[in-house]
Amino acid sequence: MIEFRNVSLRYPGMNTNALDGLSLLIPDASFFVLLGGSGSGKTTLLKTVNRLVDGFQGQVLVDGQDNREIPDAILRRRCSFVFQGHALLPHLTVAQNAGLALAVRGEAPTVIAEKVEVVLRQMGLDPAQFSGRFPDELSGGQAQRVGVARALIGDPEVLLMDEPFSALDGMTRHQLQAHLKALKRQSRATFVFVTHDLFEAIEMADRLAVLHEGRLHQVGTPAEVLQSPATPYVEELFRRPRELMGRRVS
Amino acid sequence: MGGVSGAEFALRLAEHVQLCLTGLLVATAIAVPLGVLAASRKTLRAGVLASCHGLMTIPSLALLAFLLPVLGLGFPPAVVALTVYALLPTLQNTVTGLMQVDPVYRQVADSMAMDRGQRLRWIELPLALPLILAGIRTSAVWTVGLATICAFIGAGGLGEFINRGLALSNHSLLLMGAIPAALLAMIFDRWLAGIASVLTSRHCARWRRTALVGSLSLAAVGVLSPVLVRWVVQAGTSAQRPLVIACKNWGEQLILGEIVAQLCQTQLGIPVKRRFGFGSTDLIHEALRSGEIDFYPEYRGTAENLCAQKSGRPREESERWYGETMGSEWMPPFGFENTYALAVRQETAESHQLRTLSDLARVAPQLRAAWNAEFVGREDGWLGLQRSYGLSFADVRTLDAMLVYDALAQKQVDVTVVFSTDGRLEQYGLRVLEDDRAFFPDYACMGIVRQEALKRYPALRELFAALAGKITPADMRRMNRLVDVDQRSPADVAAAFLLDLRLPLPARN
Repeated sequence: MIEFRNVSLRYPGMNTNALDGLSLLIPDASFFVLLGGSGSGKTTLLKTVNRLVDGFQGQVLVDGQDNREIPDAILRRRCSFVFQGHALLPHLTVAQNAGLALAVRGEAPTVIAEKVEVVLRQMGLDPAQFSGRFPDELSGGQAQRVGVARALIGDPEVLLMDEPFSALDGMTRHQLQAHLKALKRQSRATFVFVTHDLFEAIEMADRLAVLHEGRLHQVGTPAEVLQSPATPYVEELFRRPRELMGRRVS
Repeated sequence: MGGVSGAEFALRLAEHVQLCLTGLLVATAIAVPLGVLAASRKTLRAGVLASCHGLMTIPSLALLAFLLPVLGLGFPPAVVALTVYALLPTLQNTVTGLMQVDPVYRQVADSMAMDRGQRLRWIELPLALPLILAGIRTSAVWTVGLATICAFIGAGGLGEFINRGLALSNHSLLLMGAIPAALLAMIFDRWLAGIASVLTSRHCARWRRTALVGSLSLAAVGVLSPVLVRWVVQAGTSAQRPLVIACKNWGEQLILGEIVAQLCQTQLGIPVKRRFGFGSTDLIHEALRSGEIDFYPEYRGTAENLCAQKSGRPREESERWYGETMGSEWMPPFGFENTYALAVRQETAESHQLRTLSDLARVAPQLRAAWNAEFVGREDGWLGLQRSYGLSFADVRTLDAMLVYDALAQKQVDVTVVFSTDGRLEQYGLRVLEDDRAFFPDYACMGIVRQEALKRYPALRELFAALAGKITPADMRRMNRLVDVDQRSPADVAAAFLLDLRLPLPARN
């Protein structure tokens, strides 16, 4: 369980808060979506979990423990991160990229190689075909599959994903969304997924939180948020999906 | 070619490679770690880059001159100077390369809780590597070019030929230094480009170790190459410590150096090592003091000035000062004087009716003068001369000693300083003006020899006694012309002179 307690953050030189007194619970083993437009604070909030963003006020609890009291190495092993636009290292092969987190911990090469095979298969990539390739020899979808594999390799309790599919074309995005949902069904980890895409949020989330200008507007299942928006902003935000769904129903 | 043996060429080339590689390796070993530190610390970065830029602005010869009192002559100051100049490109590119790493990759490192060293090794250095290698390449090309001036402080290398070629106006000798230096720069560049492409290309991953080990071994061979060449060349020659014969870097000095060297070899059977072509009096004087050389030809006035400058003693005590402080002895004069003299074109002399320096003082405000840098700064040169005769020219500029004759001939200047034995005086049809107030001191030419060399080879004393007064001003002017104008090698000219001279010399010892 991840709990945000009254978390606020102002970036130096800005005159509004990026996060403004935000409290939120993310249940264990859920697929939790943080939804919001640009500047809503969703990515900042995500990065407070593994303290890629620090200097915030309030508390972030991971399994009841203040994450500032957990050493970096342990916190980041428990909460791994998938970057927007894959961020694979261009000079390393697929296998080296995927295994990097284990190499950092000083695991033996044979152990790393075995685990790399497992996570590549989990992400639907044939190790024999892809291990030796470099990132620029992959399609966007393949590269992001490696990006997710890289985060999966340490068996994390929490998988933090920062708009992982935003740079992909529609078709590829749907494939990866489906793959990720299937993966979630077999996993006990908590997935925290940031997106600005309403349809992606509705499609993927067990629960979702709507953020706007650093404040939490509503938390609930996609159905709850769609049917009974808590604020005018949420109502306005979901107008289009409601219209489309209404049309489908009629 | 140009009196240069294949063995000497090989040695100079090897010395050049050694200088460049050593400078480059030391500079890289300093610049890359320093760049890593500087990239992460803003204040350090500003300071380090500014000081490197500052060092680069010191003219190279000036830098060598600064290093001289601390490190002496030869290899050490040369390597330090080359290192200093090779630092900046590598340092700058290391800093730039590291700072240009996309911040998202630092976040990737943080998201895996990499420590500083892991982040450097796995992420930052590999991403910055192409730029760092490009910096090393730039440093390498600069270093090969710059190493040519190290010959001025007796560090050898291909600059030796350039130095000698300039002094003798001998173009083929000059090219013999310049062309191999240029080729060497290109070879270094291609070599490093090859290493760079192996290190950064993903398809050569398995060759990386081989390429690195191979290149470092090659570099090691390069650094040791002068030792190897000397070992090959000297295998079989006697182990007796040779007499080191030196001279400055113009024709007359080279001829005198050759005369003494050939006499020692052929008449006395003394093994000789030539260290010809010192770029300035200070350098050769320092080499004599430190015992790096045993002999060089000097002019009395110059020696007296050095003594006055360094010890503040009156001129009369100069010879004693050389004995006590320099560990050297003055030999009897060779028989000619090479004094400073002012020369004008024949037509200038006629139109202004110039015969003496007093005549010149009268019309000086209408004339343009050019001096070489040494003359300008000397108390027994321009400084004293202008006071003594009240000279004031329309324009005074500083020109390289090589260029003054052409400048005079092409009427770009009207008066210049020459040496009274210069072979080009006749060739260019110049009139030497009489020093009617006897301003210039006695510049009789003589040998200065280290006392320990005289002890080691007592026959030297007899050799210089036999040579006393045997080289007349006319002889010297003629020989100078053969070398400076007709481009004959100093060795040939000296040999021909000795053949005519037939010195009565002591038997070989």
